[in-house]
Amino acid sequence: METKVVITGLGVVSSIGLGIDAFTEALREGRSGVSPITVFDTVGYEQPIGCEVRDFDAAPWFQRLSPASVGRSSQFAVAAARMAMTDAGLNQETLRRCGTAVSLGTTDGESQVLDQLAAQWTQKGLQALDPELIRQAPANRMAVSVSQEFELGGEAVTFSTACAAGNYAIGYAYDLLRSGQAQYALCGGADSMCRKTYAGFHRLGTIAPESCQPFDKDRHGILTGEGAGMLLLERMDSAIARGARIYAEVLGYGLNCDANHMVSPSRKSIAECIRIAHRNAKVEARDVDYICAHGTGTMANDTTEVGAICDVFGEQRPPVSSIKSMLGHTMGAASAIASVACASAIYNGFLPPTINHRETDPACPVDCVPNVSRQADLRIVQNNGFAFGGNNAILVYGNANQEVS
Amino acid sequence: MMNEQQRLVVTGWSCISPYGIGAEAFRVGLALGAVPEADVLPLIADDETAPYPRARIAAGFDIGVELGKKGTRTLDRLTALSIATVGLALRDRATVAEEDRSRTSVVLGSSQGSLRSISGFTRETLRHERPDYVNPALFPNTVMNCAAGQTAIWHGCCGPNVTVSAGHLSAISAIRFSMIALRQGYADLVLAGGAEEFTGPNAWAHYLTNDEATRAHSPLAEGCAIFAIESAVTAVEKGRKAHAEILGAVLATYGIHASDAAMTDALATCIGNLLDKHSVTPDQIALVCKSALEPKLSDIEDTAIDQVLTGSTGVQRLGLNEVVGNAISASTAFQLAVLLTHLADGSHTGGAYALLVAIDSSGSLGAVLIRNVA
Repeated sequence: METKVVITGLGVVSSIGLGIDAFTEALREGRSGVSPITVFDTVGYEQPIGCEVRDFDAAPWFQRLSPASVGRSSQFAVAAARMAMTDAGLNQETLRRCGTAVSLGTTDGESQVLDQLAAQWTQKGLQALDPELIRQAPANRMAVSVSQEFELGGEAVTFSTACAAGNYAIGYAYDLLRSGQAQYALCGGADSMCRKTYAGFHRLGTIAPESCQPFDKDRHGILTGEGAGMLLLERMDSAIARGARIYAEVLGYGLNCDANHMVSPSRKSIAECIRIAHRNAKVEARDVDYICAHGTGTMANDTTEVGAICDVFGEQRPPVSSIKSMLGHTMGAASAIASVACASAIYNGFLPPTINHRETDPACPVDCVPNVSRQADLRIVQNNGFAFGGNNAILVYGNANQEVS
Repeated sequence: MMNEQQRLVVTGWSCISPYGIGAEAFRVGLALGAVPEADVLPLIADDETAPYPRARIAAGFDIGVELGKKGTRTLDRLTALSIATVGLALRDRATVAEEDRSRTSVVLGSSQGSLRSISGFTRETLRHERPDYVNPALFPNTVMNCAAGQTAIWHGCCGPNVTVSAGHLSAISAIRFSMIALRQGYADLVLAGGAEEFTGPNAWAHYLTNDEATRAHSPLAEGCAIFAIESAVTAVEKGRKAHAEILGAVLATYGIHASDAAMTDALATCIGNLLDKHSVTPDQIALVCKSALEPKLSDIEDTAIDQVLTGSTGVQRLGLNEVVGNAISASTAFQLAVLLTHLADGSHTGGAYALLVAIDSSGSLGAVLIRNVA
């Protein structure tokens, strides 16, 4: 008998809400997280906007570590992890006794720390780098910080597989649980906005001037965002035994690599990744009720992604929406926050909308749930995550309270 | 308990190290003793400096020579090392060039990608009159999965492409992921390991975060080690020679305020559980390689190993600091390379098993257990 793995706790830090209740409400209402950028110096850009986590105060989420001893991405991760643990009705002692695993995805790691180090190098030279910042910089510090904050003692690993990293981390945690290597896992992703990534996307001409409009014929690209999404995973029998609320079941996932180009996505390879995910999750394409898209809002991503969906689903395409229209591209956190959205959508029975939508691009022929969320009975949901390096990762979630017919 | 299909073996491996290019250079170098140091100047960019005039760099590695000029102009050294070492590991496996790599996976341990590429790009945003006067061709190099992604492109590996960060223990994490990927059927062959480049920023990072005694104890080293891992059944079917069986890899964390005793206990527990799980007794261990990243951590490793292997004599014990150095993300990959090299030369006495033990200052500890099958 296959071990079932379920989601029993959700935590989220985003530009549209802190915590699962506020986040779910924002998704239902189709709220936008856009505001002027303040987290890094934007001199030289005209009207720089993004999806910042405004006025974030890390202190309330920390008990063991000093918030100042870790970077902003770790702060987001710790906050979201604490939310997920509390939401699951579990305490630190229980998780500690079981040596709970932490797996976390990120694109830029402690990007603000790295920005500071680059500035120090420029101003004073390499020999003047602040050793404390050097210690905070490596990406592994993020997962380790979560583990140390809760004194979990278990494995802590950071997946730095760029913008699909959250899905990698959740998939890995799922495998740890079903192979009996962990009883609980805190998994997800985190990233913070930074000078480097904004400059890179701006130079590539992929930053939208006003809003992120996935699948719209007049879309202009991404808005950079930040935040964290964390999920508490456990076995189905464990969740039932302790009477936990079960948001959704993790049915399986698929990973593959384009092995073709560092930044241009491949329709063929993404279609193959969808098929791998369905096979591993033991579902058929026709069973999928909703696709939470990677949906960055760039010309290339959206046509490629929808093209791949058409290749696999044919005419039977389920609704496909992009929550990046609301909270921007949160990089390594994106597929983790999207997973939180999927779990909430399944549990609460609704489709998150694609906001800022005016006219669907004929090259993106999907029902993108334009502008307004809808009530929907969701049994199987697919969460797409794609990244630089041709790193594709797709999760499949199921409604734990309904058997698939 | 474990069925035949779940047994995993290393069917090819290689490394680029201070000893030179390839596993044979590594073997010869280990046998000779002293770790070569070379003038670091050729690796220091125009806008960089280095705290060490000489270091344990992979001096023999030249991107143009190893990979050619075509398509390599924008590759950073970390990426080039990864591409080249994966190529060597595939060659060691004596694979035919036409092999289908649609289910071949690259799993690379890298603590934070290329600090030079990331910082260099950010520095460009500070240098010019406009913050986006950056070279877009270099943008992909600033993402931490660049090395693994480029390696997949170069060698046509379409299986799961993974970059994992667990500090100095990143390669242990890569091996753990590989074992899951193979056993769950996500891939048929995994190329797993760790890579680290020597650059001005990396050298200063090492210098500024370690005291003099630590720098002398475990000098900064550079390189990459990659292991081709697949199921034992496939290896037999395809007639491939196995270098060793990988039985298990484990990772754990210790607390932020953990005492030396608590760190030792955590490490001993981790090692002990690994041996117990595979029913391996201390007398069956022939060889142990510890990370020895700092004097204190080296002592902790020794005490933990003593606790677990109590009463067992004749276990050869090596410290990575003495045979390679502190290779950051490549450290535990080099420890595995040391074990494979020593098991293959047959000079060890005792059992058929070998153990890799690691603990770093960032909070991670772990171990890998392998079995000699040659």
